[in-house]
Amino acid sequence: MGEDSTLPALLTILVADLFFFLFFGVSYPEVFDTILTLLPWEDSVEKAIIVISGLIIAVASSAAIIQISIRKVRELISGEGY
Amino acid sequence: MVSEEEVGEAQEYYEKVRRESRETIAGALPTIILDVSAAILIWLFGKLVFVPIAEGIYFFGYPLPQILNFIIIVALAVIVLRILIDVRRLIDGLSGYAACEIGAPYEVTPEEVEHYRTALRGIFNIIVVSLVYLLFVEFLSRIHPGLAGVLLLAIVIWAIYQIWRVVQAISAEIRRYTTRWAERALGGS
Repeated sequence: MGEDSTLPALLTILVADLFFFLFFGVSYPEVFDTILTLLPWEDSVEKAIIVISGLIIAVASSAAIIQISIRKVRELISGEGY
Repeated sequence: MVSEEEVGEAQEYYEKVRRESRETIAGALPTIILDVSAAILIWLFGKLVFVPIAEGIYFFGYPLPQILNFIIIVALAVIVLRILIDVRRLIDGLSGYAACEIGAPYEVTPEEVEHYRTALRGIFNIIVVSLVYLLFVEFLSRIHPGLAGVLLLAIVIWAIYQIWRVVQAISAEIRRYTTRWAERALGGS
């Protein structure tokens, strides 16, 4: 995957992750709980694993987005001859 | 009398400091802005999305909000560390630039740059540490209420010491300028 497509892909992952938790977790928790009951493990552990994974995905994707943006800005600045 | 060679050296040093300062500022400023954006973003979605969902959930006996706060603190700490390194670079650039702009043309000395560096570093460090404290205080309070208080006390003591160093550096520059002004005024009369 080229660097041009990495940034939009990471942005999509971040937005999808945040949208999922904002929509189901905060706005419609009852739907979130219904999804959890469909899974075979104990609800509390399932929910904890899903929330921790969601946070780690959000943090990692944000860090990667910023890292790529910094690299692009540096390239831009060095291209301008500072 | 100042020889032509000395004037040439001073001019060369002035140009070098000015050029390096501009390069440092241009390199560090965008990185700081992006890193601050990342820190604010992580703080916001941690506080507004993930921590509210985690309320009342336990992960093998541990309360989930505390685990999430710990993950957020570690992520923020890494970003803040990067920001601090870049802020130091930016301050070095700004101090060189300030010495070139405030001082008389081609009379910039390493000592003058060092004074501006100490003063700017002190002020920036106090601002940055205060902002970092505000960023972390809520997560620290959730882990243990005493942590935030102890840290605040340490920051206040450290800030007083930093302010004292800033005043020392600025007063050294003021003393240098007033001495030179007095010499010129008395020499001219």
